[in-house]
Amino acid sequence: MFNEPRVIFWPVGTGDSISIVIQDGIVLQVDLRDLNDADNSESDRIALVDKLAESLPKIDGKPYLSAFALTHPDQDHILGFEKLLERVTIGELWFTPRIFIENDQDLCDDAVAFKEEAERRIQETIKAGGDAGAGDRVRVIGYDSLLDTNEFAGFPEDRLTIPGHSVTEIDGNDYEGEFNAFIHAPFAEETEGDRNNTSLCMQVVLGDAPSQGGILLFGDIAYPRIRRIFDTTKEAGNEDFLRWKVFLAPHHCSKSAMYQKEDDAEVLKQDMLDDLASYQVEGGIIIASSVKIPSTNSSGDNPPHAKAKKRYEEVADGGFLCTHEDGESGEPLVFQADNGVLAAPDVTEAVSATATSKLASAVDEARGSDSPPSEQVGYGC
Amino acid sequence: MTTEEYKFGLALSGGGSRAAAFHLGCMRALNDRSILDQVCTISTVSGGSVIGALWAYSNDNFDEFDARMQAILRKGLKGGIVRYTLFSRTTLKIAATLVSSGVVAAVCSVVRLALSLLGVIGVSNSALRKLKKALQAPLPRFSSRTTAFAEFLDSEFFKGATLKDIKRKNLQIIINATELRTESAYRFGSMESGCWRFGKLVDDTKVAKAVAASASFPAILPALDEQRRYIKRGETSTHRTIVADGGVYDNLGTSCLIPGRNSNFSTNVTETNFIIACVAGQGIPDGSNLPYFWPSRMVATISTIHRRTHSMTFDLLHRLQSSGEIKGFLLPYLGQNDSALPCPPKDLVPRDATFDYPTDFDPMSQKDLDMLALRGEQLTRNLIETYFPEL
Amino acid sequence: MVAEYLSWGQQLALDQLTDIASASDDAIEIVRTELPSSEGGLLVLRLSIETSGYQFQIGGFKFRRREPIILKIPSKFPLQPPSANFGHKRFLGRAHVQWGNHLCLYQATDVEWSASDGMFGFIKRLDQWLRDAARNQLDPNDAPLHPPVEYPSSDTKFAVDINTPELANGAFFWVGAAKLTTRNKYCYDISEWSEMPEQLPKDERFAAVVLINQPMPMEYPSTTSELLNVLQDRGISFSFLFSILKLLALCQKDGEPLYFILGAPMRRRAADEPLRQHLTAWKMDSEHVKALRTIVLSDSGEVTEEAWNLILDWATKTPTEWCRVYDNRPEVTYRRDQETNASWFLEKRVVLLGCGALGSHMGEYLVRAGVKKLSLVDNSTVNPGILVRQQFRHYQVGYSKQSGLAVQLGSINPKVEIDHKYADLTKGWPDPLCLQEFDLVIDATASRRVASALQHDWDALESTPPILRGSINGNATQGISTLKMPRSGFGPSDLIRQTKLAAFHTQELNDFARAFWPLEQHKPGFQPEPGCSEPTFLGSAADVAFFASSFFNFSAYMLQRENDDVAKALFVSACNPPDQMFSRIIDLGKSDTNNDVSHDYRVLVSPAARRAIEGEIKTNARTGSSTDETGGLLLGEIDDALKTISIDVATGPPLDSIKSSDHFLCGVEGTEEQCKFYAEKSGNSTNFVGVWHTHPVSMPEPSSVDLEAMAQLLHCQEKTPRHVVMLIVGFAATRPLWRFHLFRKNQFQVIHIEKGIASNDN
Repeated sequence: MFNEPRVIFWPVGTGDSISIVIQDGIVLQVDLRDLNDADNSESDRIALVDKLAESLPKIDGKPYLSAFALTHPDQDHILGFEKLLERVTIGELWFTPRIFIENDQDLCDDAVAFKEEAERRIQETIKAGGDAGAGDRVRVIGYDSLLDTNEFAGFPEDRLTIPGHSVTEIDGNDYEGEFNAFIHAPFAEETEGDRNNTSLCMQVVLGDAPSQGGILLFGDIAYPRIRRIFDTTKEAGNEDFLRWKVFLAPHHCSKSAMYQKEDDAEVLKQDMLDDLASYQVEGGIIIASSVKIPSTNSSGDNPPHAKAKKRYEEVADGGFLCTHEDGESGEPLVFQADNGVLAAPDVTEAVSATATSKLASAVDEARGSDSPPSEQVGYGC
Repeated sequence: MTTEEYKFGLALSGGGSRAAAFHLGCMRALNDRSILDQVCTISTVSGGSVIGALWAYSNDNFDEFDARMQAILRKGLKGGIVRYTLFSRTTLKIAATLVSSGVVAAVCSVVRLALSLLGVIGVSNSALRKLKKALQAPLPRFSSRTTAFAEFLDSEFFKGATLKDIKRKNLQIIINATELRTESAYRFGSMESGCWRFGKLVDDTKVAKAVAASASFPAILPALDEQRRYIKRGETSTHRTIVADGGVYDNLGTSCLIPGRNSNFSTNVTETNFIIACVAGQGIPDGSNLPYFWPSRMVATISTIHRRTHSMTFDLLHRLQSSGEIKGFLLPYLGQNDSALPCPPKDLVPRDATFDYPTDFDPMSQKDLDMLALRGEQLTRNLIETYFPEL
Repeated sequence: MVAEYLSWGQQLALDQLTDIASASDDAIEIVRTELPSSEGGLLVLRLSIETSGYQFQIGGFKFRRREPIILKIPSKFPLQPPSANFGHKRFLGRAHVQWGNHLCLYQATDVEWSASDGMFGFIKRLDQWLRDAARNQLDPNDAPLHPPVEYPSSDTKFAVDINTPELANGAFFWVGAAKLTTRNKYCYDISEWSEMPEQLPKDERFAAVVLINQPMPMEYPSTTSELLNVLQDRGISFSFLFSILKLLALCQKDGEPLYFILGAPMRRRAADEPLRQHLTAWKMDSEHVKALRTIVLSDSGEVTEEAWNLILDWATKTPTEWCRVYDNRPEVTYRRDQETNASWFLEKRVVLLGCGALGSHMGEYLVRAGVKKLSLVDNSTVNPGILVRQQFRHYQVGYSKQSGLAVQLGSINPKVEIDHKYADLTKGWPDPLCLQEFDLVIDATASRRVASALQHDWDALESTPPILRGSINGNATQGISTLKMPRSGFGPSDLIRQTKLAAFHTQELNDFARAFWPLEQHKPGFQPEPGCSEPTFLGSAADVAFFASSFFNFSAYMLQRENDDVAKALFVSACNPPDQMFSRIIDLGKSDTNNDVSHDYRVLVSPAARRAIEGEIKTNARTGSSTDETGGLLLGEIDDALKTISIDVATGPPLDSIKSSDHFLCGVEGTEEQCKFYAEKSGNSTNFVGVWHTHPVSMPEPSSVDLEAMAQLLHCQEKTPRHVVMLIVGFAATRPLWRFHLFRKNQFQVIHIEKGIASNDN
């Protein structure tokens, strides 16, 4: 599973769990959702912690995960962390300072566990004055101003990454040329407010040329944040870091990525879609990490949303995939990396040559038939 | 318009020896105008079949043919038929037929009559009806006066020739008969033979037999009754075929010359665009005939049917010319009303002198022969000069 | 949503589309509806169309899983169709996509758009388009190319009629100039392609021409800099282009713009033809042209620098100004009259005798059909009354018809070589005109005198060009036209006679016979100016046009098909009432032509007469003896003016004739009735003209007996003719040899012999 450079999107229902393999055995896990359904063999959700424990390389008898990145501490992104922590050694932890603002009662158990572990490692890092060693390392994604706070007094600068910069180091090792993560968000002012908006957003490239396109992970953000990321990046001239071969639909294919409520009406933000389309490299694929997307949604039933899927279908050259619709049931969507170029999994169905046009039959149905009634109809006075 | 563009079809109507003599005259005039050799198709009925077949299955020059025809007409054919019926190999066959199938047929007829009577008094059910239907002449009439007629024609004139052995160059002949089971046209031809219901005959037929069948006027001669093999739409089958005088269906012989027939349905489709129809019919009777008993009544009935067919055909030919489907037609008509001719020859043999000559095959006097032939010749020439002088 | 400006049609479209969308299982999603914001405004619908059903083939459009399509519904829907655009410009430059995203759904909107089928038909069409686009079948290989699009912005137009020069083998381009002639104040004609002018032309105007050997992009550049780049990519460097422009700038007059014709091989007339140049014209305005000139001519550095700045400005900042080119080159267009009857006339040389009613109309058909040369002959002038039905203009009253018509026709098609001649055709063929150089002679004089005169002049010729003649009856309800092919033995006058016989002989043409050859004049002819003008026919321009076009097409149809010894006549009656049209074409046959021995008259023997004689010889041999003489009467007409003997009918021997081996006594029984019959049947054209008999075994020379017979005929009958023709068929029994002899009454002297006294009489 983890022997070659690849990106794996696990089928975890409507939630995110992405494993990025940089080299044989070197894995960056972004978010986690383990639903404990291992006993239910019919479930198409993966018992991720078991899987990870199984597949990761063993160091000192225990499975070793090089790094774990948390985009934001929502339950569908952290479920099962406590179990993971027990069974697996995690080399490095990536997170934003958001977790420290939360009160424990607002967080789920696994999030609390994460928070405690994060706090512990920060102390270790401050104590070590730099690299705290495998199992204790952290990378904090945030702003300079963080260093002025109490919690981070004495925190070494090199363990802090400011959005707008790239990271090539994982778990103490530099993988420049094979791994580059450019951090797009969160923005400085947004460590408060809606948790989703503070998601860690990044472009991960398994090679040395961001312009070749990598995977864009935008957490659970919505249109305003997406717009801001695009504008800021353009202004800074960093558009290469927006090039994507794979785009993970924010917030599990929510329509809030491109629809905004304005004056009681839901307005489509075409600009976001146009820009997104312009940043894809050839054969770009958009992925929804979610359950099967319905053909229509009832009110409030979002994510995943049918309209969002349709909008994404208008954008992605290479098509739209859903973790619970495409590929085999219970199996992840895997993108092999070859010299920095990501190859799509072979899941698309061929178009049948004889597929009758839906449009044509729709027209015929709407137009109506001119045959006389085929059933008796009674009249009278 | 050059004559090369005309495709002539010549129809020789029925009418026994009277017709044969009349047609001989018409052919004289056509030959003088060099039209006879350009005829592509001859369609004959009954008496016309005798002269038409003799022309088609010989290749002597016209004068020789003329002489031969005259000899035959003077001698008549009746004698020959009688001779071959009573005094030839066929005689025994006829006797045998009478005894076997004739007797059986007679018995069946009687039974059927009884069944009909039962029906009249109210006794009838589907089983009886089926029985009645089944009891029709189960055995074919192997041999009869008509077969004798055919034998006679074969040994004396056609000498074993079959229909495909046509002698006149570039000529196709159609000998018209009627098939009485299907009540439809039955055509013997140098190209193909058969009828649309049964299909095309697989085997060829002797010319003599075709002529005899064509001339077997039902009131006098029995029909030819045989099992023949046919091919239709690729499938072969055998049918009992009962063939009689072509005049029953079309006494003029023009039906197979009309353009626009579809070979999917009809046999012997031709490319005719100019029709010369020699008609030995009588024309309007003077009313002296008073049919009283059954025989004369039947003959008058058949005459009326013939006359109606004649006048419908005349109209049809006029229409075909107006519409341009044929380039023209000539209708030398024995019973022609002479005053209707715009500019007749002064010495025209009058209608009255010839029109009621009998239509059997009795021997003919030279005088009668000459008059009939001359009238045919004069009418034909006059029609050409008046209406189609460029022919 | 405020529906204030939504028209009923737009509402209809919305309803129809909503129905379709709901029945489509999400294949069509209406994403956004933008109502019109003003009166007559557009209803804009943003749709999302699922494309999974469209199979992709190499070269086709690569659709994403769903495609955004924007429909604009005009307020006059459904009378006007909606338009469809992609929501992006990914397909910019592809054929059938204009302005980057507009779908060309209809090739001929008039024919293809069905208002009553509304959005149903539209969506079906859209579906079909998308399907074909995906599998690269929008521009099937076996169809002519849809030429590329440039968006004209200038008012100036160009028309091209001549094919472009070919590029030399292996050359990247052809450079030269196009000579421009002014057609009107908007439009120039490119009249000639030439090499670059070496000297400054004085009065001629030239445009620069570059024809390249590679295609341009489907949508032509909209700015000058783009254009320069595109050309650069195709082998025309800026400096080279610049030098051409400079050179031609010098050729322009002050204040005039410079036109630049650019051609790229992007058009094809039909599938198997090679690609041809698609021409576009581009205008450089006078200010910049002046700057170019300044650069070349000026000495002053400052002035030149200023000019350079202007040019730089032009090269970098200006939009291109394209001019509409009306491309009528034979190599990329089809004539609209090809494969019609009229196509026979292309490049032919025709002489039109008579520029009146029929002639003036036919003249127009001739020049529009593209004849190469047209000679007009007439001798009358235009008066106001004829404007009712002749193709002259108001201002031409007083002009001679032939010159007036020449002007008229010249303005329709200046390419035709038109000349006109004044001549009185009743005097015969006008000398200076050379008959044999024409491909067709049209006699539109409707004058029998002219026909006779022409026949007289052409008597000795073995063949003439085909001759078309036509005439109309007194109330323009019937017309007869004859076409004589070169080797038909008939002359123009003969044909009139033959037509008369045919009309009288054929029952359905008897109306024509009575109309054109009336036995008596019923009433005086129609005189437009009673007392002052000649009688003429009553008819309108529309009536005349009907006959003129019928005759014209008849002649062309025959000329394309018939053998060259044929003569045919067209009988046509006009639609009055409109469902009563009638027409028939009759072959006028061929007569053998002989010459009479005595006076060298032409003898035309009809096939009917010939057959009758041959038939009688055969009948005689059959009924009597081939060594017996036989004979009969000859009926027809002897025309002293045309020196022609026409034999229409030959009779057989009358009843009271006597035949023997050396003597044929011609009887009289029934002959009077016969002659009366034929006279009546032919409108009195076929009358007694002579006799025929055979010499079974001797030469066809008149024996003394024959001469006596002639004398008797001409002098000793109750009513004697003034001339008689005798036909002798010599060697009738073996190898018939025909000889005709014409005898005139005054050839014989009658000498009465009374007892003892001889006196002369006559």
